Amino acid sequence: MVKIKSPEDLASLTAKLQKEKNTEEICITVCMGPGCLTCGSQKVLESLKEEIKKRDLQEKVQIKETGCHGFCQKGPILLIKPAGIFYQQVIKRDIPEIITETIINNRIVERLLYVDPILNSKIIKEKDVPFYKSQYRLVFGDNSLIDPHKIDDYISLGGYSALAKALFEMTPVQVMEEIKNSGLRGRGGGGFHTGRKWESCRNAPSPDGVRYVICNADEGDPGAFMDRGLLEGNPHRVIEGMIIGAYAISSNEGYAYVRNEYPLAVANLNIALELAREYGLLGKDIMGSGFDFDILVVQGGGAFVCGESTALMASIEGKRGEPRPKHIHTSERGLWNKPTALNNVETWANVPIIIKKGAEWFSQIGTERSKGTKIFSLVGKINNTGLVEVPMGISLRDIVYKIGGGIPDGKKFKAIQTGGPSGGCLPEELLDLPVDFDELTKVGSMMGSGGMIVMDENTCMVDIAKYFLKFLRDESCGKCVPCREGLKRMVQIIEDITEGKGEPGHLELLEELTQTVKEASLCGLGKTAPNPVLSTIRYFRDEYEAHIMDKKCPALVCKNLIEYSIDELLCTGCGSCKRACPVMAISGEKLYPHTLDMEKCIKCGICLEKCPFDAIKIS
Amino acid sequence: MPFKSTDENITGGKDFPDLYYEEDNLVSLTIDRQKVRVEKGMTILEAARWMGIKIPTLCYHEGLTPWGGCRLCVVEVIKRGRSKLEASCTYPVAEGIQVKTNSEKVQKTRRMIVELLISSCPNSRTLQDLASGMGITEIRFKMEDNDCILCGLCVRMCKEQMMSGGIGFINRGAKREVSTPFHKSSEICRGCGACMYICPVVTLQCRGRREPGDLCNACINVCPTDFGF
Amino acid sequence: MDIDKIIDENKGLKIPLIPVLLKIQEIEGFLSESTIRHVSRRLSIPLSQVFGVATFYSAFNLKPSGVNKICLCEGTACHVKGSTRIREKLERILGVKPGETTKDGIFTFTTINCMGACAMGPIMKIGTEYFGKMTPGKVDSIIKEYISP
Ligand SMILES: Cc1cc2nc3c(=O)[nH]c(=O)nc-3n(C[C@H](O)[C@H](O)[C@H](O)COP(=O)(O)O)c2cc1C
Ligand code: SF4
Ligand code: SF4
Ligand code: FES
Repeated sequence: MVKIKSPEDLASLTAKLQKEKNTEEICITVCMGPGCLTCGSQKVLESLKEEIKKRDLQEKVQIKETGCHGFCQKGPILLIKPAGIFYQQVIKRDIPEIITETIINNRIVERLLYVDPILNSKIIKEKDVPFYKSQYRLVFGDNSLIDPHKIDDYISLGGYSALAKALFEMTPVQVMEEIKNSGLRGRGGGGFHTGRKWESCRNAPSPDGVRYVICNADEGDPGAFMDRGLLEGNPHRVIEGMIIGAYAISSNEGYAYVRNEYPLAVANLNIALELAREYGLLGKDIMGSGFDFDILVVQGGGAFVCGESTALMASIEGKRGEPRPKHIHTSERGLWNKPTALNNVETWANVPIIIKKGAEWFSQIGTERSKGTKIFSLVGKINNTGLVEVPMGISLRDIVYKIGGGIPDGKKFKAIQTGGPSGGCLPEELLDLPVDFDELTKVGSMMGSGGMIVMDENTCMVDIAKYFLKFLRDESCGKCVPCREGLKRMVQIIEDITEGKGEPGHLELLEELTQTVKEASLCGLGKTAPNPVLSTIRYFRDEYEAHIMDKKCPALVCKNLIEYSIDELLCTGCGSCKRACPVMAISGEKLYPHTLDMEKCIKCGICLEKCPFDAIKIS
Repeated sequence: MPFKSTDENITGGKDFPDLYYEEDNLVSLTIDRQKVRVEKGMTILEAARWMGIKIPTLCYHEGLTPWGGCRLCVVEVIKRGRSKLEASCTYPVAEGIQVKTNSEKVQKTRRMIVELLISSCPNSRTLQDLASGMGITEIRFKMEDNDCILCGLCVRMCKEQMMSGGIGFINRGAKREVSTPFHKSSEICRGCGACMYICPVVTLQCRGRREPGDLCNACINVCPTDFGF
Repeated sequence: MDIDKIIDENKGLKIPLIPVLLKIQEIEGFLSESTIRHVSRRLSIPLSQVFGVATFYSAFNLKPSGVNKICLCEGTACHVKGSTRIREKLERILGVKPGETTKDGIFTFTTINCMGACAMGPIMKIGTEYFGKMTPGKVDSIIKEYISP
């Protein structure tokens, strides 16, 4: 590889790559994102390679392995270019047919097309799929064009030109001002103004001139995987953003703290860093500008609290990941007590776009105080699960119904949870709320890092609150009393409620406790921990009361408050349930209605699943 | 007008004398409506104690690095018009801030913290005294019988004053405990006993007559003037 | 010894402790008492700190694990889709709680907060094989395959 020694070198390399790219050549893109991988895209890829080789098509057809495209529900996904044909739920067996029909004979394999659930029509092109149509894929869109292991793919799309612009046409202060003017706010949860953070970091005194930049890829929010999608699919964009940021605050050392559960992200990022170094885009004298900067990848140890800035820094320093008081901001005194600019993966990925297209262009997207787009991981009881990127200001309803395709099985929508364990559950009435940092905070939830979990009528809100509380209790570092002891007690109270031992004063005690935990905890984990409870009490109080007063779980979830029984009219006496029951609570003769012994029943629900006639009822 | 009921009048209208006189090293702030100028780098707790204001603490000790874990020392800090609860033992004094050390919100929070602690660790005399002093007469949580409030005094004592490092925190969240490595006696422990000396639970076991696991409240009647908070 | 090699390779880092522990665990499968003592000595970090770090992060095992690692996702999305009942089922047929290994050493059962593949939830993983859209009823037959040789 030749080193890139000037912006002209980069420009000519980009031009060369673009020219080489044969737009006529057929390219089959296979999504290797986490969702598709779990449904077997590895096997699809292998057989695709085999088949191409067998038919001697290597010259004509190119295969590209990319990161997540977003539409995980329909994985494994194949995209055939230049026609832009979109095949979904492809399995190994489909491959020969795809090659014969589509590649050789130029015909479409109808069976593999996406079917619009409302119009019931088949859709051929990716861009016409409703899931993609309502999105604005500013940051995420390139994922389907890039093989994360190939830096040339990124450069041919104009990658690293923002870096060249920053290094050669702008001063660090100008870069910082540009980010400030764009109105970019942190995508990691808090929504802090990125430009302002950089400014305070730049202006903070550091006697030896050492400053750090950190990329927060800890993504501990259960049910969220956008940072993973970005880092695995398009690592160079994040790296480019970090270099620009480092230039703006004049730092020479960067860290990327990646969650322990994401080994592939670590691997891809390390490969990408190595390639960038080989090109001279990272390391000493970047692009001949005289600016030095390098990035080290640090693997986390599996602790949610390490997403918090001070805990993350303690973890990088090799200590227990315990937060410390932040009376002085980490931008002034962070890693090893030096000024540190810490930003989320998605925040960094936005930086090159802003520098390239300008603050003014960027600030036209979004709302008054929230600019740009946001990636959400749309999961739960929704038809189209996956990663979606939307402009700020879009309503939650549009995300759920237009992009998400509504609730499966004709069930009723109940709540949408944003912000992960620190956020809240919003009811149907608030669905028209725009996606905006301040609007979401106002109603007791928050933007968070991007988890968006949809719940239907079969979800018990008390159970959800319990789930988050238990999660936080186990993930709290345990340093300060309100969080450690408070959460423990909150879990106990809410467990009592779901077990039918709730008492009238419990809700008030819970509310009093949340107040202390919220106000007196040391770090953001404790300060936001009560949100799931507070928001569910606020919007679904009747459900709590049903548990406490009537000892009933309206959604039929809480085990101690439900009973299984067999509907005699529906039971055909087939005996499936009897064989499956682990405690032999079901008895009856073949072909006669069976009976269920409540004394023995452990409410595991297996009979419900096994009964072919829906004769098992819950009440 | 001799008795204007303004803020100044309540405290006699006089500012507190400065702590030091090196002008450029001073920060002025208001603590409980009294203006005071203290040295940069002090914590609110130090400033308040120097003024004679009592703030209860558990995990703080003069000889050790402040840790900010127990949150008993919370005070209300009003900065740019926004009020927040902050741990006074770690919060550095800052120009122009207003501090309320004993507002209703502060008291309520402290009471809840003591209630939380005592329900898990009822044998500590220190906690029982605090509870009596704050007028806590009922514990609404399930009683447990632990013997550590995880204040970390012993850990810091061992490391910072005894220059050892035999004990440390292990695990996290609700499972956190203080222990020696592998729960075995530590090779570097010299048996100096400093950890026991400083522990607010072990050394001061409550002696009042009571069922194990209850609130004591016995001292309320014995020593009515002794409780400052 | 391998461990010494890992330590030497990483000694130059500003922050050797966590990377060293992670790499050792990758090779040995868990961190034994003697390993932890050895690391503490070689890196000159007090034993209480090394032990504190090793018990803080959930990535570290201090006990050897079984032949097959069963990992159930308990992320929010999987929870909403019913992973609790799968956990109960696994607990029942394996006779262990999450984080424990069966007596015969065949299975170690763990849970994870999110595998990042929420679309296919509830998700279970044994070794490197994924099982999406799980139900309690599917558990038996999957486990059986791993018991018989
Ligand atoms: C308990 C807790 C967990 C957090 N987890 C994450 C995380 O997983 N990823 C992330 O980017 N930020 C996380 N944050 C937010 C970070 O502390 C920090 O605000 C953010 O990374 C700053 O970057 P930004 O300005 O780009 O948002 C978390 C905060 C708290 C309090
Ligand atoms: S709020 Fe929770 S996580 Fe944060 S320092 Fe306190 S105990 Fe640790
Ligand atoms: S043993 Fe005593 S001094 Fe040490 S943390 Fe526990 S309560 Fe504090
Ligand atoms: S004394 Fe301040 S937090 Fe414990």
